[in-house]
Amino acid sequence: MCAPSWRSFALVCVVVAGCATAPVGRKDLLEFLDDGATRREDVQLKLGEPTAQYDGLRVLAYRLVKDDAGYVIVGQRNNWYGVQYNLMLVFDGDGVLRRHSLVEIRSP
Amino acid sequence: MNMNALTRWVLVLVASAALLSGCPVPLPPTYDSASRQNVGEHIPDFIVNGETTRDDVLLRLGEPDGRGPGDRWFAYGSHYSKGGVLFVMAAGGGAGAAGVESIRFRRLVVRFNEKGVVADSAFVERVCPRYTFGAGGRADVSAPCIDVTVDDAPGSAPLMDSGIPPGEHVVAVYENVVWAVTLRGLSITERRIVPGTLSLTDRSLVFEGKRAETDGSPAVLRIPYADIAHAQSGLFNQILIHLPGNVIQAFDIKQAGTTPPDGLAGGDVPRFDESPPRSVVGFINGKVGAR
Repeated sequence: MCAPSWRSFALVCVVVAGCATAPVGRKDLLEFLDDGATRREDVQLKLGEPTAQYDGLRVLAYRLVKDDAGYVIVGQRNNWYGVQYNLMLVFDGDGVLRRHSLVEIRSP
Repeated sequence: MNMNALTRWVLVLVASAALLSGCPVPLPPTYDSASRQNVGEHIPDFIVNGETTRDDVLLRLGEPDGRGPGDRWFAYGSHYSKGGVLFVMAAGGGAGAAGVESIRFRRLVVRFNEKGVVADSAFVERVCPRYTFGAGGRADVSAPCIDVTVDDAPGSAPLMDSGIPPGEHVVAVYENVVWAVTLRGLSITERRIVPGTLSLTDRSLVFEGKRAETDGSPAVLRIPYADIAHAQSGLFNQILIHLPGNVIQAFDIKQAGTTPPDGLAGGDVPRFDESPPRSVVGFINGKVGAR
């Protein structure tokens, strides 16, 4: 009678452990951004598709969350659920980053 | 006491009894999980008319929740629950819940001139109740009292222009059109209708109506064809105008249009007198170059 109980307990442990998520962020994710030097292509290579763009491709926006390990890009969604930050990037006509900011949208 | 009043009182008594028999669960104050939190209690100090640029606004506030055609305006909105109570009821193997919360809505709209500089801005804050009722695996939530993603406040409307600009030629006019305004919350939506007249000019689509459901104030919407991604036929006699930013404006066209005597002449004038939505969609897509 005991064996099945222990097996069940172990199964529950495995299932519950599966719910825990390890931090997947990167502390250096945004460190490559350098106003006056970084190109739009570099940004899109490193961060992927932006969640929004303005004035053509001159202003790009990315949504992020931060976990214990650093920042994580969040995909496109219709609202701010699960989002903490907006990375806003303004490029010049040559596609070089001119200004950028990390806007806190929701408190962690 | 007439029957309507009596019926209302009976319903109130039944609802009260049902609520009082449930277990009350307090709802703590918090932002909605879908809401942004960086809309302050007034227009931010950094926004100065004639000086602040669209880039400045994006860099300080982030992506807007709503944006007008050609990014002529941005809307930033938030939903904050000031708390409430949820009554949970369980009986006979079933369960249900009903609750009420006090929600603080904030909306900041920033309008830009043709140079991308702030022309003016508007801030609205309103506190309204939000009712929730859930049973049988589904939940209904009352609509927000203001749409935080657009500026639909009477008397101020960035989407709204002064109607048909001088120099534009009216090609067709449709009476008894309904503009189905989508009142978007961050997690729920409600549609309101505005009756009026839709005019197609050689350069834009212009809707002129009155807000019958609210204060009867004018509601004028002008969309230049240059701002339209494409037009599409919807259900029944509806046309859907797709704009940048995933914005869709919907119009119900109930009857055939008329062409004014001074309207455009020539082979490119569609037959506005038959199948209104199809002819309107074809005309607009011809103007914007969409298929």
